[in-house]
Amino acid sequence: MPLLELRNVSKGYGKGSLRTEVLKDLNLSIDEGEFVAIVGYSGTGKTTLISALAGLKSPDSGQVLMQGESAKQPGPDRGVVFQNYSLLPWLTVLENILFAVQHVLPNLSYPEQIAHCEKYIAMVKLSTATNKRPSELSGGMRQRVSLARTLATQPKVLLMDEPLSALDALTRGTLQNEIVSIWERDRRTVVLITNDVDEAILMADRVIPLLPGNGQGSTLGKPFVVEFDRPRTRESVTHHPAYKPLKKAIIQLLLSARRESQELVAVS
Amino acid sequence: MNSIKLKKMFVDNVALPSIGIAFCMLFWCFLSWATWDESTSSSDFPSPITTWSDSAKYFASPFSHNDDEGFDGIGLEIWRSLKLVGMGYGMAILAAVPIGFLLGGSYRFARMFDPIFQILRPISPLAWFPLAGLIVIAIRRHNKEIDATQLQCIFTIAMCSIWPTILNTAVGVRAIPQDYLNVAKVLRLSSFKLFSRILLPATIPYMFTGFRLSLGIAWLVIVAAEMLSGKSGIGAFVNNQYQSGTYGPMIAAVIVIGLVGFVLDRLMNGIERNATLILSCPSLVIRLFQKMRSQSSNAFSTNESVPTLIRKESCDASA
Repeated sequence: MPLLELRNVSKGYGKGSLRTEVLKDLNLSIDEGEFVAIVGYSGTGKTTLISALAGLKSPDSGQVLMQGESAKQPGPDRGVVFQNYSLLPWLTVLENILFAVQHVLPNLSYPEQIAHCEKYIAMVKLSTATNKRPSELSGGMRQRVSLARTLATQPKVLLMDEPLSALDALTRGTLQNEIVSIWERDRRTVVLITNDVDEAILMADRVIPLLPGNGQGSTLGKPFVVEFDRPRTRESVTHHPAYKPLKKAIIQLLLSARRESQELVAVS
Repeated sequence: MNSIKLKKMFVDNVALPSIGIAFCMLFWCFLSWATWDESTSSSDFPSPITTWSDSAKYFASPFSHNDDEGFDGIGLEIWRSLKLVGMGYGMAILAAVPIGFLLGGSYRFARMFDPIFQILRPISPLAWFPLAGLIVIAIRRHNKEIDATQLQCIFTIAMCSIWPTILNTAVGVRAIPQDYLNVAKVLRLSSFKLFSRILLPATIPYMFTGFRLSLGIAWLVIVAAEMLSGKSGIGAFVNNQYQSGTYGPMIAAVIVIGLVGFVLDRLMNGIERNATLILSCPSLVIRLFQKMRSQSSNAFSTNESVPTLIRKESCDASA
């Protein structure tokens, strides 16, 4: 049984003539321990898709299933790393994580909770910033905190909504490598939403393109299986002979889908 | 470098303000010179020197009653006014915070009451005062012990100073980023925890701005209310001196009113700027705890429990 499943999920916004369909009949099943990347250009409903997976938005039709059961409400079993970090600015790094941990693991004693937080802070290499506030951290460090907070709640699925798109290219590269190495140790189920094809290929087992429909809502394309050996690094992946053809195929699919949809919109 | 800094500090904080005060004193002197009355050989508008010599007795022992002449020192009057302000302002902010949360948090509540608030807000304290009197009359019928004028002043202060806190709290609640609420949803926080750990801390800076503005208004209102009630307090003092034609103490009292208002505003400004300090109390506790643990790392039980915890999880992960 897949861990997380979408069945015929559709979602749109607005009413009447103002209505825009965003997602159309999406089917997706994610197995335990799998790293799935969904790639799409902006405006194709990536955030709507992750919100539906997280339960933050309920689909208009179709079902979101978690281990075979309908999952309408959000919950800590599906941890979300948000695009804009969403740390609480009045709490320090440790407190931000502790806040989540105390809520999700209330049975641990207080020292155990703090030790648990410190372990994940060390995992994202922020031990020196434990008692700093988010305003004192760079964007990359904030996203690490956000990642540590979500990992510390030990979700069954980690949902990442363009976690690195607000960062500069160098920081993004470093964090991509770190996320990959953390994942290789941890092997948690991950759904990553991104607009960066390189990032998707580097990290994921499967890359699924999110294709803009012709105003009828986006659909998921055929998945690309990424069979590069792990542990992966940016270098080992980009030098692999299969890398360039794979990247080219994904980008061409995305581009042609966008072109088609634009033409259709222009004609209508 | 350091001497330049010191010089700049001196110029900014001592020299320039002194020049400003000197200008105002000059204008004051000019005013009393221009209003010189030959027939009484005195100014209609007392000069700074006359003002001081006439009002010195109120400042001589400000916090005591002068039995010989039967008047109270200026500090005593101020203290009476401040007590009323404290009560009225306290009532106002206690009511304003929950109302502000409802106004900012509930669409329906806002649709119901926002228009009314917008109409009530610009009503002058002079208009609230008689209205407050009606309520006091009703209360007096049941309890004759109550000091009616004091209560009337307190109600007036409360009604006038409640608005900034209500409106600022509401703005603060509406300004809470959706991200924080998403975090709360993913963690499935109870509504109490949502309120105490996210909504309240996120709103506190706005609330404190409201508190500061409310206190400013409360201090404005008390003088007006006491002038109307005319019994005690600094407002009544001004009014009584005016009625009895002793303008020196009146002017001195007006200056004192300004000074007290200034001090109150500075005080609240300090509190407002440190509002986040209140929020950081929990982190101080945590830091203390960490320090304690690192000092007594051998005796403390955490050191045993940490490795077991990690071991347990690594087993989970590999399984």
